[in-house]
Amino acid sequence: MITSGKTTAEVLGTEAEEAPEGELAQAIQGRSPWQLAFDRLRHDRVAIGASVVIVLIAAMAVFAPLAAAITGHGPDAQNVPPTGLPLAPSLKYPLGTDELGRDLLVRIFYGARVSLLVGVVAAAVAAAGGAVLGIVAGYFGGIVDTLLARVFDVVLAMPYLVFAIALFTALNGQGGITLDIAVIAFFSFGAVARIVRGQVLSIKEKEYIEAARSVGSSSLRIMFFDIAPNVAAQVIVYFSLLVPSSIIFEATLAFLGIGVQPPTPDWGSMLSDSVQYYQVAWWYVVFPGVALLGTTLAFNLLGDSVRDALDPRYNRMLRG
Amino acid sequence: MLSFLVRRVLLGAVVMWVVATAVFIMYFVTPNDPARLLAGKQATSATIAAIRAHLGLNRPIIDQYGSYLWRLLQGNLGYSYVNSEPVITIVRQDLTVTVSLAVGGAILWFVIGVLAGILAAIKPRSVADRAVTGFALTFYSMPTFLLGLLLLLVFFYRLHLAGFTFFPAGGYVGLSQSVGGWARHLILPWVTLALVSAAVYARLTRASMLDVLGEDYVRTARAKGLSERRVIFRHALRAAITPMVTQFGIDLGTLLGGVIVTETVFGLPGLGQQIVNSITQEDLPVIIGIVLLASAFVVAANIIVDALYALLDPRVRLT
Repeated sequence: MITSGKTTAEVLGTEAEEAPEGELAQAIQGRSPWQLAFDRLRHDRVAIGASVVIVLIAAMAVFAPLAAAITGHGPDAQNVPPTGLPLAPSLKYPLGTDELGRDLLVRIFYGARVSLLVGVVAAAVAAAGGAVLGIVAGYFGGIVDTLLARVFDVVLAMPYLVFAIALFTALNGQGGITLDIAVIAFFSFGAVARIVRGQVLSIKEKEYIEAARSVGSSSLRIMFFDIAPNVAAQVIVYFSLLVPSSIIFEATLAFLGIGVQPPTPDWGSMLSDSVQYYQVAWWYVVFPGVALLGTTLAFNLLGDSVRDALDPRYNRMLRG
Repeated sequence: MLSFLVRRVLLGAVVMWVVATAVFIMYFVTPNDPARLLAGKQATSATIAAIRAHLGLNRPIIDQYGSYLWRLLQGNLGYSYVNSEPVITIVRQDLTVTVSLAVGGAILWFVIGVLAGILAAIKPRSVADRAVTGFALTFYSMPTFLLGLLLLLVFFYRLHLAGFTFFPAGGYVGLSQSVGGWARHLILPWVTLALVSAAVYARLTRASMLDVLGEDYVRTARAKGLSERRVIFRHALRAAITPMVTQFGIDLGTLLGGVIVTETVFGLPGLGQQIVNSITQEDLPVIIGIVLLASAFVVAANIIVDALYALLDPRVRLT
């Protein structure tokens, strides 16, 4: 709100000097809540910094083959050191190598692909699925609600990591990234569904829903044209916070040796391999670790900013 | 209270049934052949058939499902494919390690989280507040295994090089053998487990405390001249801590995940290490046993936490 006030004042100030009255009125135009939120985000230095980091990581993922071409070795190109130990950073290998002599820089670039793909897709599936189920449960109420709410409870009560381990072993390591995404989304949608359901319970009593019903809108139309836009802000906030937690989830699975299988470059499995060498090769732990932590931290910072922008009241409550 | 407990226990039973069924489907309905696993790679088809008959795997699936559930109800988790020991025996040995790690870690996690949150909430926007918020966000973004590795790198390896050999690289010493050794081997794992989750609690406590500190009764408490310490710990914290207790119940599943990862990093011979080993050995009964036990633990802990929540906050209606 404060940001928008200031911007309007600025517009007024600059326009008033040169522009005639008629155009002044045009300068003050209504802005949607989405525009206001975007404006807040644009003026948030933390959000901009985090976005820059995320764009850089995305660029790493996209231009990974370029890194391989420049350094001259692909992500799986081995050059087993005579000592059998990882090679320290050098001109040839800027970030050092792993125990098989594979270039860590190139592998970190390729690893960004798995992390971003799994993180973003799993979070999107969980947020969308959770939103739909939450709207359905909240809107229909009754037995549908009771059943769905129990399902959410059961999913949230499962020890997800143990369960994921069991599932991956049952499938003998088949499935790869798709299964990764499915499992992560499955264990993440419950929280979104619960929140959305709670909101829909109060939204559906509002007058505009009654108005929609009175003009003959179908349930489907009411749910997805009248209710959905009103829970969208919450779902977006949740989505942005689910991305980093999905990235951590994926890395943890890979660390335990399930999910993405070698030799696919993956930050989690690189760190898993580094456990045996951390005493002789700090770079093996530190560089993949920095990449992973930098990514999740950037997404979390951006997520916090998105929440502040979409829900300024939350921020005010936190600041006291 | 009684009807509440009954309802919660019933829900818990449903969760357990769903988990047991899901595990059954995963392992016995999907194209998996436990008999082949058990027989080993060199077995002839006659041997496999004999084992299959012995395990009852040639009976109708619904029949197997029935006896599987019946077996579980009697507390029989079956026998390991690898060494034919009862799963219960194997699991019992690992349980002490896991419980040591989980309980210590959980206490540390809750205490650090709540205290840091209070520290931040007392003076919003102060240096302390900013430090807590910054640390919280960093640790919150940190995968458990990465924190464990970094702690090993710094506290074990670097300090060892510097001649300070207090922290071991891993392993476990029983509580009955040496209390000091037990604690020394668990400090880094405890901290690893605690810091990641404490971050969430610091943030939650901060928000919740700020909310409560604005309430009229806190102003009243201050106005009647109570010490600030008393106002914060006796009046404000009591109301602010309830959301944390609920969250704690929700996070017990996360705690278990953290325990598995932490055990793997520090080489602690607990349930997590066991399940990872069983995966490589394809020892299905042990995997299933641990999954069921872990789920039962989370379900039971959730019920206890809910009851605790009701005791802390009399306004909660136990219906």
